[in-house]
Amino acid sequence: MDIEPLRRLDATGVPLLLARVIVGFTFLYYGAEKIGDPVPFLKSLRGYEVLPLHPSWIINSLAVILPWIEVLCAAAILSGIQLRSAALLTTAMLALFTPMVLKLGLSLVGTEVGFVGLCDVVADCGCGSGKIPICPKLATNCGLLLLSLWILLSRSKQFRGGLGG
Amino acid sequence: MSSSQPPDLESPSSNSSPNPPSSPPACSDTSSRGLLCGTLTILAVASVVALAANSVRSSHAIDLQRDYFPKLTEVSTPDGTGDSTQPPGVTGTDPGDQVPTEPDDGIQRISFDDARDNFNSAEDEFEATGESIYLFVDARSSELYQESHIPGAVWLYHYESEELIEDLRPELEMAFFVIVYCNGGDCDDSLHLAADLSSLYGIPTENIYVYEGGLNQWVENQMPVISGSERR
Repeated sequence: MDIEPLRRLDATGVPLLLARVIVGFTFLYYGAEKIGDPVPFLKSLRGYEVLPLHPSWIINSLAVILPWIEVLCAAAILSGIQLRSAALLTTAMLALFTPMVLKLGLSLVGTEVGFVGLCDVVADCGCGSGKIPICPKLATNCGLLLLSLWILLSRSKQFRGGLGG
Repeated sequence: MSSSQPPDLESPSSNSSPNPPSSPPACSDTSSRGLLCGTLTILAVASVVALAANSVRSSHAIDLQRDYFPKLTEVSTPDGTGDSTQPPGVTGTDPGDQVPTEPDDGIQRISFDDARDNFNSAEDEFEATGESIYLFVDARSSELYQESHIPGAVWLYHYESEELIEDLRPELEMAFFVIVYCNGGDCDDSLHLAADLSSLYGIPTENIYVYEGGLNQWVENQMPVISGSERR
């Protein structure tokens, strides 16, 4: 597979810049929403049924700390400080939570009258935006995952620092 | 390899160039080790900031040690039937006689018809005497309570119940029928609050009922609601 066009595109720095803006502001928004009221996020973490409820401090601490990780990653991605480290974390979070959102959506199929298929399901995935259709959320997460990977793997020298420079 | 590389791309070995810098910046994430260092730094800073912010915030703080999703315990009765004991002196509609609609997990549930009858009894009693043996408890957030709640219901948000319980304790202890509700549907905060009322706050289990249909079902049946922070 010839990746030379991709490398030349990367060298312009434009994809990196776009990825940083989109991923940075998205994580800033989602993190700030959860920090504002962490209880819905705590309830969502419990709803995924992958974390132990006992001892309680495990799930409670995650509900408190994860939103701040999102905000700090957003700040790092937007400022260019520890850019790749932050991208590694956003990639890891997206790679972890996207299958969990899919699992949540699949578990809700058929539980309500309107939930015939996966794309009919509307649920609160704990992503900071309340109850939303699951399919667009999965598509958004996959897009964000690709953009995070681009930030992580990009070797462009352009737009690596602060967005102003 | 580097000869065919576009000029604006970093070389993978750019950090180990023939003329290395005298001292590379700490946690520079251009190397694998730096990447790990930067990642751990972000995690550490986020943890410290998050825990500090959580400990000083006045509302919506999460108590790290508290079990917000308590396991529901079996109701133990002297005859071992699991039936609740009827409080003495109670006449009229008796939630103790009402058939549970859910498995016996120790929490007594009431249907909409029961909730409506209890509400009507509570309103009649309140009009006649200024008090009632029925107490509706809203387990939802302050915003939702102020948006709309069952008239007469007290606000006891499950996730902040530790701060709110003492002001409400006299009423909770005097009521023979404490009826807890939230939105209904997939909301189970009322069940968790009911478990806490019994196990954590010492309210007699036999006095606690959960109206699982919740406010959504209440509104669907055109029952009255009021908005604001006032109970009635």
